[in-house]
Amino acid sequence: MSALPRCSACGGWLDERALEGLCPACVTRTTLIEVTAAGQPGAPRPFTAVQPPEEAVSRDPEAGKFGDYHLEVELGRGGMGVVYRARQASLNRVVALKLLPPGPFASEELVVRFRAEAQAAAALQHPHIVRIHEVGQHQGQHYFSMDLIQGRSLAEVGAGSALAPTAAARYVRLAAEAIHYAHGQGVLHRDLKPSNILIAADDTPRITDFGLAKRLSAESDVTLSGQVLGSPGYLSPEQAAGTRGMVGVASDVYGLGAVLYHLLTGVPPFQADNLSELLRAVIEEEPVPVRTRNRAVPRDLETVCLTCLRKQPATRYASAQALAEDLARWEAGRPVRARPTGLAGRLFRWGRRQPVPATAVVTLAVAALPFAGSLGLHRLGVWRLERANEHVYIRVGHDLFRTDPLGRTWQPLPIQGMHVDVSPDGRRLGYVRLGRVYVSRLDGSGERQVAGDAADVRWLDRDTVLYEPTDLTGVWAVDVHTCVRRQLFDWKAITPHGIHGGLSLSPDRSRFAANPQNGFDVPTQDVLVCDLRGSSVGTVWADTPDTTMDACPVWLGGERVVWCRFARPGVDVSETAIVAARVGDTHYETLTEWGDIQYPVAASPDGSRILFVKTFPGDDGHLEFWIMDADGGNARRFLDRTFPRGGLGILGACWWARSPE
Amino acid sequence: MSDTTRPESIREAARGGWFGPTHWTVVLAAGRDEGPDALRAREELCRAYWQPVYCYLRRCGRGVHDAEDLTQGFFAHLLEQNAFAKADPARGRFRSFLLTALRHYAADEQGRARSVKRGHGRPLLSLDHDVVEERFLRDPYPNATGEVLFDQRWATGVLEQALARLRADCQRRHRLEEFEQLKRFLAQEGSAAEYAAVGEVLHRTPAAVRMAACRMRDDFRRRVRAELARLVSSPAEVEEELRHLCVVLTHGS
Repeated sequence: MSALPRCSACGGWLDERALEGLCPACVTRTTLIEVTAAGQPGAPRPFTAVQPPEEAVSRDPEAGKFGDYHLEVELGRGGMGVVYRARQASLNRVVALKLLPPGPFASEELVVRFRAEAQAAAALQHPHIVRIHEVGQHQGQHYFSMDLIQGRSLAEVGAGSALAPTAAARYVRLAAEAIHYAHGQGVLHRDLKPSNILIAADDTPRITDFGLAKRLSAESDVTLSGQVLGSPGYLSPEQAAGTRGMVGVASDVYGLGAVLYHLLTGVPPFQADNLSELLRAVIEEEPVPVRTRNRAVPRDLETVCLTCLRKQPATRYASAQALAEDLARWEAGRPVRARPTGLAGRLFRWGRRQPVPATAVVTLAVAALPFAGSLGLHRLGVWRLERANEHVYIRVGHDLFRTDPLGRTWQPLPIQGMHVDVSPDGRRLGYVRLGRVYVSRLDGSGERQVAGDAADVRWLDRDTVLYEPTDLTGVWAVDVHTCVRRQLFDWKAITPHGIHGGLSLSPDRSRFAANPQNGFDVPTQDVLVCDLRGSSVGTVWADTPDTTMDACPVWLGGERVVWCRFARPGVDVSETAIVAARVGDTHYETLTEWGDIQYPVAASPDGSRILFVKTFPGDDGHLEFWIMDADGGNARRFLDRTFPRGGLGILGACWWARSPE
Repeated sequence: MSDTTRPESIREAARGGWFGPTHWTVVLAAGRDEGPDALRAREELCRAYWQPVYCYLRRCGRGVHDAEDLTQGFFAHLLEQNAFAKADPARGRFRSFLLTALRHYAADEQGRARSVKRGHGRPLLSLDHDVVEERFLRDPYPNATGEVLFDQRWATGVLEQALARLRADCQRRHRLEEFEQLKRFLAQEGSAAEYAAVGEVLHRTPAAVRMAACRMRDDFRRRVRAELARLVSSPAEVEEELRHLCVVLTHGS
């Protein structure tokens, strides 16, 4: 009997000839064991094969006894567990006890991660956050205990009818302050919705379920397809789209806006007959304006609400605190800072979310091919880069174009790829397509695959490309002739939670710069610099705690890095600017005005110039390509390009390579 | 057979919305009728169950040829005796009925010899025993009982049939490429990078790919239920069978 292979996901036996090679157990878990979005009309009958928690409880010989707790009354149940009122025997106190279904904890690692996050949530101490007392496990059942709040949730308070605008604004302001506190402690909520905000006896909100349910469902290997989404009507577009790297502070700002929307109108921002349709609407459609549903809502409050619900995270309030402050202004009768989106802006946003395939993604590669002394010329303010034989590579959707820094030519390249890098000898391209690394000649001929499972690629020398696997666990090198590969290092050996994505290699190809994440999928404010063996060399610290930065910094010469910041410190509604910092410094310098989106960014290998792309609300599909000096001076637009029906869509990283010849 | 000449119970079943006439209800209603609907229904039932039956017999110690003959013979026996008519929907699921009938059949030497002879002379179905035999030999759980193996083959078969129908439907709608790219997401939620990678191929945004994968899972789920519905006698049984299928496939043996 020849041995069967094992499924790489669940470890079960896998007959590769049955079920088209899919693992029947994984298909069953992912597709059939489902709990549909609760209460969705027309949804198929909920069905779960995991053991319901109450059965686990009832098996206990002493009915109602659960470890140190005595379960008294079931208070409610949702996708991720059942909540009981319980008495803790040792402390003789009444608590709320949440029992989690056993299904999602398929591996030790998940248990460890869940507990780490639960403990982070347990450390939160804020008057408007439900305090978690204990996180534990009893007879294989995971649970946590928390303050018992005698009162109703906002879902019950606002069920079916709108609240008075002042009451709604006050609840959400207090909740936003609490959320801002949690963000400062490095904890995201991820699942804000009316049922997770309880109203205590003093008529103030208490936020519950911090991060826990979402962490469970998102990381679980028993994917409960409906549960992943919990209450998708309140989910941010970046969560609905599964854009993992984009989930952050702005996603909770969205959640707060969605709660405010519900309180003001009596319904969630999005509703649909089924889950797929709902997700599509969350990602693609604008919510019905608040005042269309309820004319009694003042215009300014509507603007605050819709600012939270903007599709692009960077255009919402920069922090939950900024939202709280704007609500406080409204409550005090002062003008709010949020500005309504005009027709042009709405069109712009629409265009950005309806990109034709050719403009879905723009990344940009700039290759300075044989470089003949342009350094110095630009200092005269004269861009005579045509002598330098430089080329700018631009990816629009799947298609690659080459232009020059004077923008006079526009030449499609006969290859398709995600990330493109030019080999050091300037003769070949390396790129990622369908998660695989390919190399080819500049004209696309001689294409061959050299590695699989890659998210990003860079040439190290004429024979070697470096790539990052899709799980972002480390950096690998592969010989393009033999396809022999080896791992250079694991990011987690350098920074505890790994990085947030992107492979940025210094011009001399000796060091990487990367953006570590904090373990909750949130990029930190740091830029990590390490050598090719993964030895940590240095860190750049950006100095504002309340904003997130773009995923991947770009080298600006050998000692500085440059990136686009997505939030202007101290400003409520996000703006972007290009900033740069020296390795080892704790502050960055702002090189451009704060304003419209200025992204992606690329830097010249000698660190003398920066290239970036501007887009403008209203200029649907219109891109401007700019070059400026490394100190931000001498900014000059060198190319305009308009793409039909599309703006930037999903923004990628960009980079610049050059030939030493 | 036109609709007007169908027995009442078939038309009744057909009125039940998504729960259309099952193979079993058609077979039952048709009795010994040799009409095309009844024949097709019998064949579908046999097709759905012959692999579980074969594997059960092999696990019970039958040799390859013996099991092949017995499989053909068992279905011939069911039809000859009109045993389908003896199954009472009120008394349990068809799968259980079949397994019980199989146990009796395997133990009934005399009856078996008769029907094997008959089945051997006129194979009911053209069955690819080699493939199934190979799968049987590679079974990773050699100590599982015949009943467990029967259930596993049945459950996998239901998924395979649902997937085959999904594939065929995609092909008909000129979406085979989409099917090929997305089917992996039936087994696992994709990562953002995976959705992006598939988006590259399908010329779609990652969000659209994620959505399409979600729709495909919905579609697959419906088809699995539809497959089960063809093999049971009432809508209530579908949920029960689905539950059983999930347990069988996620617990190994």
